[in-house]
Amino acid sequence: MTEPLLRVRDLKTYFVTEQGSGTARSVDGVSFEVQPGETLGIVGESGCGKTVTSLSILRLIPEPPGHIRPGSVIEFEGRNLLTLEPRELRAIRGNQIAMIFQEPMTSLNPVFTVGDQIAEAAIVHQGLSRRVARTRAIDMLRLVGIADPEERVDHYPHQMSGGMRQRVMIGMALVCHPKLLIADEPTTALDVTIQAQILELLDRLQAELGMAVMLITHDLGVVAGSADRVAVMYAGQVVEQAPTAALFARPLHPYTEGLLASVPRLDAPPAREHGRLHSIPGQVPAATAWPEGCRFHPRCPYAWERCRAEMPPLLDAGGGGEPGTHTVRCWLLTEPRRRTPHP
Amino acid sequence: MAAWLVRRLVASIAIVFAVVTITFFVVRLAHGTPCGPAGERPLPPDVCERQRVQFGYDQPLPVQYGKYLVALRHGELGESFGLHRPVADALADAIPNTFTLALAALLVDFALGLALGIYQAVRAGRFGDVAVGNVALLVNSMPVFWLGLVLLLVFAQWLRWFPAGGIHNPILCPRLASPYCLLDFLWHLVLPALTLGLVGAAGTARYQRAAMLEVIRQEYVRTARAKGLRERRVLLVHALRNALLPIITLFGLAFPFLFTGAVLIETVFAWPGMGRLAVNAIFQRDYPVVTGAAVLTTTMVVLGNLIADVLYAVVDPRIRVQRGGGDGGSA
Amino acid sequence: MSVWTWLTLGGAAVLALAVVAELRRRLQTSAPGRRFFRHPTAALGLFVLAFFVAIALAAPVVAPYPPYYQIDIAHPNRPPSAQFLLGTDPFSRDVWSRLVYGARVSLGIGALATLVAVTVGTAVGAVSGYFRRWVDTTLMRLVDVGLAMPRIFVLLMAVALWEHIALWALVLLIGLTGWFGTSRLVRAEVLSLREREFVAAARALGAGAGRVIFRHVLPNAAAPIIVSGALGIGNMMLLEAGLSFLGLGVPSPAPSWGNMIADGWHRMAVAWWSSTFPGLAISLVVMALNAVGDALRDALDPRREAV
Repeated sequence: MTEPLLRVRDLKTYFVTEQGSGTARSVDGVSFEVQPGETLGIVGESGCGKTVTSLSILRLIPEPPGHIRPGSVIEFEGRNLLTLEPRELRAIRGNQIAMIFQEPMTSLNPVFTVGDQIAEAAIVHQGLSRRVARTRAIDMLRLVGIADPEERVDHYPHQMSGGMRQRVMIGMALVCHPKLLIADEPTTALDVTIQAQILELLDRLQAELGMAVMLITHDLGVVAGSADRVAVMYAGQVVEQAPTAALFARPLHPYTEGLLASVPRLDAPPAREHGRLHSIPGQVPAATAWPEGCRFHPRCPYAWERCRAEMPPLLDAGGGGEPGTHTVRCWLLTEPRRRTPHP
Repeated sequence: MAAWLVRRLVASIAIVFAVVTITFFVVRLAHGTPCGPAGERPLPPDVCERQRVQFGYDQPLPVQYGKYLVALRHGELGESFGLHRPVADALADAIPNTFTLALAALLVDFALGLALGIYQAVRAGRFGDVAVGNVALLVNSMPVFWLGLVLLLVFAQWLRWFPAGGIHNPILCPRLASPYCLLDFLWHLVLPALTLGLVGAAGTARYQRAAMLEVIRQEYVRTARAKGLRERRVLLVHALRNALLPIITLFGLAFPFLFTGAVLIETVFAWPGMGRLAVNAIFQRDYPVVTGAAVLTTTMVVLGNLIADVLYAVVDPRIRVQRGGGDGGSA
Repeated sequence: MSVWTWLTLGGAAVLALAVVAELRRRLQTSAPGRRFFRHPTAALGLFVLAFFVAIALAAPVVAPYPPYYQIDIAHPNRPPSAQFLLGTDPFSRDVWSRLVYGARVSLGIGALATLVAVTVGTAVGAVSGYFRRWVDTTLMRLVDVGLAMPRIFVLLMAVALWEHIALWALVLLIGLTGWFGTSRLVRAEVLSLREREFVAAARALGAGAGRVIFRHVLPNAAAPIIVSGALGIGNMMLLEAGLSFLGLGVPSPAPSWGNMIADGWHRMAVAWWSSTFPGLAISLVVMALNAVGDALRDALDPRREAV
């Protein structure tokens, strides 16, 4: 296997809550890798810690309430991002690793033109003059599929639709040809049709620019179409990791099973379980009070005593391919016969 | 944009007009007709009557009003009783002094207020923020004339660093005739401008802190950091530009505040500006001066608000588009 | 300052503390109450206000000398001492006693003038916002003119051009020149509230406009009115102080904090205490009002996040 572009080992990001309800351990020991040029999808419900994970990579966590625990390792091309000097970190942000966010309207500065905002990264990181940077901005607008880029470059964010703004965000992120793009729920705030266009755009750009993408979403459909590998997160941890096809064909973690089963299918038989859609019972626990043992056990149809007592590590699920391709955090791997739902 | 501007101008002129009319009639209706300044010896009745005719006070009010308006068009504001010179001249002498005082105070106000507000926002919740905040609250609550007195006491009386009032050294510099006299003028300007400026700065700091805090929480600040920009640039370029918008409203509000403050400060520091002129005229029942000063100050206040509105449109592109500036469309 | 006056002074402070503590206890149960007391300056501000109100009310007991009494005309301007807590002024009157009696005047004028301003402003704003159309336009034009006129100028003119102004007239004038901002605030609230269903429901039941406005709309608009009132008292007090300082407000020898500053002004060089202490009193009270007003604003409007 080639050297991974990004390697995250045992990342822990905690937040101090003000009401004294204790520390929120939003990210509690997350590990994964991103290879150059591949798309890693990170999937999970709200509150599982996926956004905090992505923000932690670029160290964008606000320091007073949050902090990244010592012992966490985030290596980009072999360098530990967590020990970099501010100046070195800034050289990476927007330049080698770029990030786009969920809400393009609030993530773009309303008082600057889109051209200025795109050009800024080029000016700061590549030392381009304003004129050259402006040309680059126009090129980027064209690249992301915005019509009339020469005119649009002087427009303000509020003069554009949501889809266009997201394209601008992508253009802003890619202007320095980063090696890794972190996309935090890039399509959640958009219409379904626009969603498809944006995902297609990301695919195309990834192929053209040869960059890796970390795609964070709660939508399995998004991940199915765009990701090479998927990491499923729950309660601040990765609970299953596999190539996309393998994950969808053979979901091993009960949570993944539940997620997949919750997606309504057009080809499903009409009457299923009292005619209702499947959902995972219970709720996502609060980050200040993770359950003992396996964090999913209160909601798991297969849980037994061991699950309540001991937290399972990430176990190799085999299934062909190199060891570590498909890992699952579940005791069922050691006792597969328990995979029968309780009555 | 142009249409909106014209509408605002017309509204402003209407307001000034209304104020002029109100002032005119209030002044005339209060206390009957004057017979010379209240401070002088009362004039014998026939002299008084001749004065009345001379100044046109024997004619019916609407006629007086009409004549006043006509004269106003020509820039004539009447003749002052007490000063025995045209009102316009007296005002013209006094206005530059008030203007320089207000300008200097505005400078202190915004320079100090913005800096403190930004500092407070960056250090939000910590000791620096709380300390500055409470001091600002106290200063903002002080009567502006009392602060002037205290500063006079400390800096002019005890420490003797600055003069105890006035606008110039009457012996050496009766006129602004040399660089030395300019320095002398500035030296006299420090305390009054500081007084007005400090109280104003305290208010501005509170506003600016709130505006910056609001902005810093916005996601586009996070985006700017994610682009790898220096923190200083993130704060001073991306955040500040948005936080300045509400400050512009403050700028428009500063005008009435400055005039109020000027009246009191000019009295405390014996600064020969329009405020002091107006106060003296009121005491002496010098109605032409009072009316003229009212007209002028209202015009300035209205102008200040107009400028603030225009500035707002210039700085915030969203408002510009709303008022018909950009193409306003989306695709 | 006899032992008795010291005792009553201490008593006033204790009373103020008790009032604040009791308020705090009572308000713990409601969310706005808890939010209010989250501000450290709020409790302090309440204490300062309670203290000054207490000594104003108990003036005859807390002040060792009557306010007009000239103690020793031959030796005015005595510095602060055990006998004269804050010294004597150029007319040889005890500054502390005058301060205490002046509290009645200054606080009273501030509160009453605010009452006038808030009442008029609320009425105008409510009518304007509820009836809209030409009523709204005319009233708001009036407000524009009112806001454009420099307030102190209007007050100076009005007060000076009528010879001797009675205290009630002064209160009315200060109040009547200060309602414009409140009216705009109330109008905005009423405009948004009138579209709500409870208004339609009330009208469907046959309620007349007045009833709808008073019983249904205004109670919901109460929060910004209260906040603007609290902050307004401070402004009114500063205005009264300025007028009195110029000699146009409360007439001597009746003490108000403003004219006390004027009395001592010309002797500042030798007797700084005459002018300094009244000004300090104004600053503290206005600061307390501002702190309380800010805390009220945060407490009554849960949409604002405190930092």
